[in-house]
Amino acid sequence: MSDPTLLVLSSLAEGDKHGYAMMQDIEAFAGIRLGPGTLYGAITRLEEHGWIRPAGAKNRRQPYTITPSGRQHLQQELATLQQIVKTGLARVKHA
Amino acid sequence: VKSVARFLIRLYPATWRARYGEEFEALLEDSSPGWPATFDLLKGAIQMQFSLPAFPKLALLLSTTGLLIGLLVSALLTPIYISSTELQMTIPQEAPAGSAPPPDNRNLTEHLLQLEQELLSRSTLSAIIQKPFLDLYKAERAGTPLEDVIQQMRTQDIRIRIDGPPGTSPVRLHFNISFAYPDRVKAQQTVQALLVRLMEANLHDARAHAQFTVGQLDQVRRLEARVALLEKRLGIPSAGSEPGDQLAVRYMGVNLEVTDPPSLPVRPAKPNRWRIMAAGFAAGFVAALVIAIFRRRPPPVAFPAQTA
Repeated sequence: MSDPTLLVLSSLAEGDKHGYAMMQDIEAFAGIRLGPGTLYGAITRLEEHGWIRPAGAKNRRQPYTITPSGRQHLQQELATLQQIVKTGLARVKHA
Repeated sequence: VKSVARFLIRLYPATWRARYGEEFEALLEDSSPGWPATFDLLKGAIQMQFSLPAFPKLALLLSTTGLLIGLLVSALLTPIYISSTELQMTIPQEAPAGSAPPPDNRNLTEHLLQLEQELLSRSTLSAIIQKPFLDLYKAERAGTPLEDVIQQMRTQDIRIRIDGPPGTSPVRLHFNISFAYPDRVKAQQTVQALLVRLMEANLHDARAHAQFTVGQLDQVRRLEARVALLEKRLGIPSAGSEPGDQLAVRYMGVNLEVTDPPSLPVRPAKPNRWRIMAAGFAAGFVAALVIAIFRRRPPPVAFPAQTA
């Protein structure tokens, strides 16, 4: 799972975070160091879709929060991924 | 690296920077970006520019405009035709042992430089320019001194270029003479005139060399005649072959051969229409990029009100 938008959503599913906190969290749980351009590209897309939104007033270290539709989207995507992982593992095992 | 990263933020669209600029800078301060992150910034800026709905339209419009301007400019520029001829310079190899050694490659190159000086001399070019059937640079000569016109012809329009390394066996040198001019027929005729002058200069050099050799030969023959007379008087038998016999076949000049006659160009060499159009297209695209970077719009996202 290296789609930056899913990584950001997964990070925000735990709680509100600003950019650098997301970057550190993603590195910790996925082992992927997102570049600043990639991270903010993902944040921009997610905000355009309405899956995340700024939390609180405008801030230099702006925290973001996942919206209900974002959480629903993440659940759907993770379920699909889970299915792929499950199928893949089963096929690898029987190969 | 940080200063480069800060600069790269400017490549993001103005609307995006108005919305995310401050927090993006804060992220860069916190994360201390290295070179990979800097490249990631550049990649992000390009992707962001292309993701804006207005950018593709603007880029298409300005690039097409640039393309059309390039087409117009290339149509307005005077076409230039280039006629060229290929020549080969060789050294006669039949000189026997004991005679002067034939010139080597370096001498051939020097010989070509000598001929080139003669070919590009003021007198030669002036004569060619003012030949009635050529009448070159008529418009330029009306408003510019002849010296300047000659200088232009010498430095810009005539090219003498050695093709590849000189051959060693036999000693030879390939070279090319070309002339660029708006009239394709006159371009060819001028190269022909240059060729004739080059042949004349080479022949003149060969003759000068031949006269020198023959002069030496006569001197030696006179001495031989005296020696023979003395030998006869003193009753000494003749020594057979004399040095003068070898001098008769000494190096007599450089052979100059036309391997490809002056061409009659069909298509103009300049302007390069495709290159100018491509430059116009690229300039239009860059202009669209610059406009997208500096265009300012109000931030699209409203933040929630601050809670006390």
